[in-house]
Amino acid sequence: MISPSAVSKVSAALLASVVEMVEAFTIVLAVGLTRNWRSTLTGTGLALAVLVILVMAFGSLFRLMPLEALRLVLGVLLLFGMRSLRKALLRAAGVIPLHDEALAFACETDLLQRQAAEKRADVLATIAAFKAVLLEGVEVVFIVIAVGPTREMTAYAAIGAVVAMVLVFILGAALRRPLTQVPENTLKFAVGLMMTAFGIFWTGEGLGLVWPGADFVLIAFLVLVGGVSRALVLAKRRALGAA
Amino acid sequence: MTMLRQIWAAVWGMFVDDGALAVQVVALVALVAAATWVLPPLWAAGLPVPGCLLILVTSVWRAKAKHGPR
Repeated sequence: MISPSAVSKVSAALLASVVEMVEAFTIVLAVGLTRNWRSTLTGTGLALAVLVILVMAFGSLFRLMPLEALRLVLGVLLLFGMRSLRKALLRAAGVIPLHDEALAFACETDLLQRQAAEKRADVLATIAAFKAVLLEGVEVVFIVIAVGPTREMTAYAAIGAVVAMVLVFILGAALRRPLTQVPENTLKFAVGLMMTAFGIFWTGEGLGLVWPGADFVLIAFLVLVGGVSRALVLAKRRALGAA
Repeated sequence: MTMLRQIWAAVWGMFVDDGALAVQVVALVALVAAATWVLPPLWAAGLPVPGCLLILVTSVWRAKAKHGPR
């Protein structure tokens, strides 16, 4: 039976992967529809191969570290990931605009159409797909490694990421248009919340703190940070409205 | 080289989007580490959550409105 801890790791990786893969898919689709699918799939495949190598390399590297030090390093890196939560809150409050997949698709299509006459148009298309999948995938790789510092947990997190990627690409291929209906900011908020909660937990573990309730304290972190975040969005919206 | 720079920018941006937030996180971790020397581990465990919430609230609160797609 899968433990609650494994479920939380699969969920964190799955949500993070959905968000990043929706953004990557928009570019991949634009490249495929504007140029050709051969270049697109070549770029996507190469990027996925690089990502697998990164997971294996960094996963092995981190496992060489003593457990306490590893927890501290990953915890601090996850706390830096609090900027994801910050950005989601700023978008929810209306301080910065929401990410627009339709606009990203239009911009990429326009760029590829302008490059269509060039002799190396196919190479440029391959590079565009490669870059999109690699740049978005790097964030997923980090989350997969950070939420699952042990070999078993990395495997669980990787399963979540791969399932999300396959779902996004199957759904997108069936629809043949950007996935504009996916509530990206809500998902980013959830991912930011999990990164912050895991970050606090692992940092504390790395520093030798004693958490009341052991692993269950993670639930309290999620509720507390989530509640404060919600109140903060409402207060910021009111402040912007009053300004 | 351009692609390497973009990959580096993406990785760097993952952690240090807001410089002040990153510095405050490091300061908080240093403070908690110092507290573990003088306080029992259970008491020191009371510091990270309020610290992170304070950092988050001040960072969001001082953010100015930006317009245009991102």
